[in-house]
Amino acid sequence: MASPVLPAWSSIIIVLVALAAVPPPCCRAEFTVVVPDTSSAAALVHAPQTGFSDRARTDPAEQRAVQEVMAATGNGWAWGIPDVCRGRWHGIECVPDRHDVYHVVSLAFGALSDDTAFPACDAATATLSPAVLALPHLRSLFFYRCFTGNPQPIAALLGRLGPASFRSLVLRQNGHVGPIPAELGNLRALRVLDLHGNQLTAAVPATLQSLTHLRMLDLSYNRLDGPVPRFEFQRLSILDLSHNALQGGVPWSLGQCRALLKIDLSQNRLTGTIPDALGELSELMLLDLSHNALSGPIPAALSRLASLQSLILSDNRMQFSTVPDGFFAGLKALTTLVLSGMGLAGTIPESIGELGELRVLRLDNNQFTGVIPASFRRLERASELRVDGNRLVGPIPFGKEMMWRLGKKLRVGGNEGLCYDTKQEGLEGVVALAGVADCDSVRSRTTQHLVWSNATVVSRRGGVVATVTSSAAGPVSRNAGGTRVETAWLLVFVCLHLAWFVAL
Amino acid sequence: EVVRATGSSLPDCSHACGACSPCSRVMVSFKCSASEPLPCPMVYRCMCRGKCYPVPSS
Repeated sequence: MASPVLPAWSSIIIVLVALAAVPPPCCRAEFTVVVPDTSSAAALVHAPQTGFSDRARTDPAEQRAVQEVMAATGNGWAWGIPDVCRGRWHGIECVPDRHDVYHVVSLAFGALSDDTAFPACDAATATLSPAVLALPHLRSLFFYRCFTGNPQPIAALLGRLGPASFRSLVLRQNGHVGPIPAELGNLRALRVLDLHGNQLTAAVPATLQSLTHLRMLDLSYNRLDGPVPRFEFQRLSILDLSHNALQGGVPWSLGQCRALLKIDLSQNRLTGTIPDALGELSELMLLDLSHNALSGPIPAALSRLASLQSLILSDNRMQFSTVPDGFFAGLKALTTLVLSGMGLAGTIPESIGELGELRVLRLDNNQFTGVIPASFRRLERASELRVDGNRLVGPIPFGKEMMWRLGKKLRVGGNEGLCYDTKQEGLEGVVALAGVADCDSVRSRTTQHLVWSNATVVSRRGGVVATVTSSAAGPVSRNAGGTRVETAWLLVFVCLHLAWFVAL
Repeated sequence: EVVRATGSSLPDCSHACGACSPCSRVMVSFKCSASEPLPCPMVYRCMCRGKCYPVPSS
């Protein structure tokens, strides 16, 4: 349809590029050509819109309210606009009614980037004008970095915005102080509540529990304390309360928020165990509970989260909790698994090696014993793999291609019993192996050779690598009955061998 | 009681540059290879005294 036009345009652009070797000072570096929009009339027709009329005028009361709100933020230039819904700027949206009267539905402030800047606030003097209450059709208010030089509490009057129509309140990085006003619970139609990056204190008001239509709740990076409220929002998909000082447990009621895609409660002071109910969240893609004081065990119910892509539980004190071997069998979508610094004990589950989508795996700074499962060779998509700071023994199972590919992102240090196989060629210069002994020298020094070579034999029959190599008398419970006797004999043998070595 | 509007319209830049005037509509092209057979993608911007502003919603 427009094909004859487009090649013509492209040739004009090429010519202009050639002429204007230095890009014009306007806009950002990605833009090369700026053309006055006079000739474009041929390419695009300014056709009448369905639903809009040229005759529509802004409601006079709303016009005045908008100009007052604008002036209070330091944008007094809006006083000069005869009709704010006709002479719009980036940051105001209007919708006409059947009587050709425009109503203001959205106001936004603050420079997100040079490219999509809403009217900037005069940070030192900006305030929120009560005139917003004179905008009965308002659906969305957005303030970004607006009151930072003049820190104020969030105005309780915002709770009096249209209870049936107001959908989205974003007050992001505005320097707000004090508590979240309980009145915000009156905004019954609210879909989005984003108060990220302020200095808000006290507890999350219980009144927010009445915001049953909420889709996104972001209260992260504040100083909120008290418990996580018992939210039961059927439509909530994003819950971010990270980087606060919240206390108490992870509420069971979160398992009722069946639409959740993301739960981020990291960097708080949460205690207690992770509720089994989170295993009900079949849509969940991210679960981040890191940097809290949660205790173990990791609930087996989490292994039902078939959509989960990121599981981040690092830096919780789950001393001596173990991860059941089958735990990862159901987590088919997992790309990021971070279990660092949790005091986890026992062996590393073989089933991690079956996670074909895994990109980032951090098991560092735990008490894991035994060997690195051979199945880890199959983590072909991994770009970061950390098992450093554990008590692992035996040869490193990765092929040289994998070690070269991972480079510095493979970390195995701080495991005294780990070694690499000298029979493998081309390992000179592999960063991860710096300071790691070769298996031959380890074999000649200690009896671990016996431990893992025997363990390998046994593991082919019964999968007891872990119990054998964790010399600290790990329970022999997971063996089949047949291998139990054999293992007992092996342990006796190992003990005798060690005793003999000590005697020497 | 508000009417649902559909479609889109050419942006009107007359009051879109804040305190700066005159404010006029320009077309801006992104950097792309001259050897590409397809034309470069284009966007509208409002411009006042050499400075660009985003266009109002249409």
